[in-house]
Amino acid sequence: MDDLRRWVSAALVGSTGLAVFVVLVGMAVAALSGRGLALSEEPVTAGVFGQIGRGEPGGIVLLGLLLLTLTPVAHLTAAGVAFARRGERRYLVTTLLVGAVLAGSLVVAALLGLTAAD
Amino acid sequence: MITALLLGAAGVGVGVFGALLGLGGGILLVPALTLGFGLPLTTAVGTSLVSVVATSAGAAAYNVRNGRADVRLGLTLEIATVLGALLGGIAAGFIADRLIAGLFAALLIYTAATLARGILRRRPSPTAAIATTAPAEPDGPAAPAYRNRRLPAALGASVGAGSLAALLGIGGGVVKVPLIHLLMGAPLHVATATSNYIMGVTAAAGAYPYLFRGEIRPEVAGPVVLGVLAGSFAGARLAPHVRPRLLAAVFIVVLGFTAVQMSLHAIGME
Repeated sequence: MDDLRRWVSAALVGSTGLAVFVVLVGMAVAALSGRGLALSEEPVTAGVFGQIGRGEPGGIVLLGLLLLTLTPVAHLTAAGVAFARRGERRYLVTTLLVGAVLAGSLVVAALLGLTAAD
Repeated sequence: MITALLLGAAGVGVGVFGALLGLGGGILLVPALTLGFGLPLTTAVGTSLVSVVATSAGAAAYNVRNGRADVRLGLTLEIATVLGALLGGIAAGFIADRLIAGLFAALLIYTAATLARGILRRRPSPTAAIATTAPAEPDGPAAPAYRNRRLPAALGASVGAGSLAALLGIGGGVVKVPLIHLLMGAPLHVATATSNYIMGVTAAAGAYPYLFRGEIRPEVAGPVVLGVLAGSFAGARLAPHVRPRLLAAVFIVVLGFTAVQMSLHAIGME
């Protein structure tokens, strides 16, 4: 198996596994504490971490879901490194372009979320 | 607790279905969450998009490792798709839902008819001769011919697929699979696996606005996502044992079902 396929596959498994683990932790905390997963207030970007700090299991689950949506960042990074090592410039540039648009989407959404909270 | 278990079970079914057909499952999940569980559409769409990311990751890890997913082709098309998702998310507030639903229904009907013609055809498809090399070949002379076949048209269609994905809470596989298979000439197994691989990027771009606006509820998305992951792992391992023509036939049924849904929405009957 070439390094591209091995690294992209590993990035998918690793990042998804981390996200799922965090979601499972949140659901386990909810089950053991009897508090449920519903959030006590509207979650926006900063609120998610505030709710985790207060021990809200729903905040932990949301953190896991946020990590899940960052899975593409992990496998795009792996693909970009593999293409760079192989000298495939066309696909390295392609990967960087996809990553740039995805990063832009994340920033715009986070800013819109903060704006909506105001 | 029971609701969480039911949501998880719905997720398992969606995950298996999505992995078998190269779809994110949003086509079934959004109606299931709104009609079956009575959730608001924004919650259903946001949950569906996060679930599509999970479906993509679960199946893609397997398909990329065994070479069924063409990473190079997928990333090439994804430039246009993720841009379309961003534009679709922005345009969502300005375009009438019914207009989009009507156009989508027409596309699905056309695609289903084209696939059905392919199944009924007795002689080999004209595209079969093109898709004969392994999808995992690097760039250069050994690269499969389909990777650059009708690429401008495929990129244009990918923008549309990304826009629709963000608007409707789907992964875009209903457009991407026939695009890669019929327009570019890749084998159906390559088309479904490649679609599975890249739809996670599209769905993530579409999910961010819902996540940061608080429209993704952890008590809903948590069980659904876990169920979808389990289902997609199982579906990815079942896929190589499913015959291509049977896969295409099931896909036609899915397209027909979705076309009926979209048509009803377009004429105001839901």
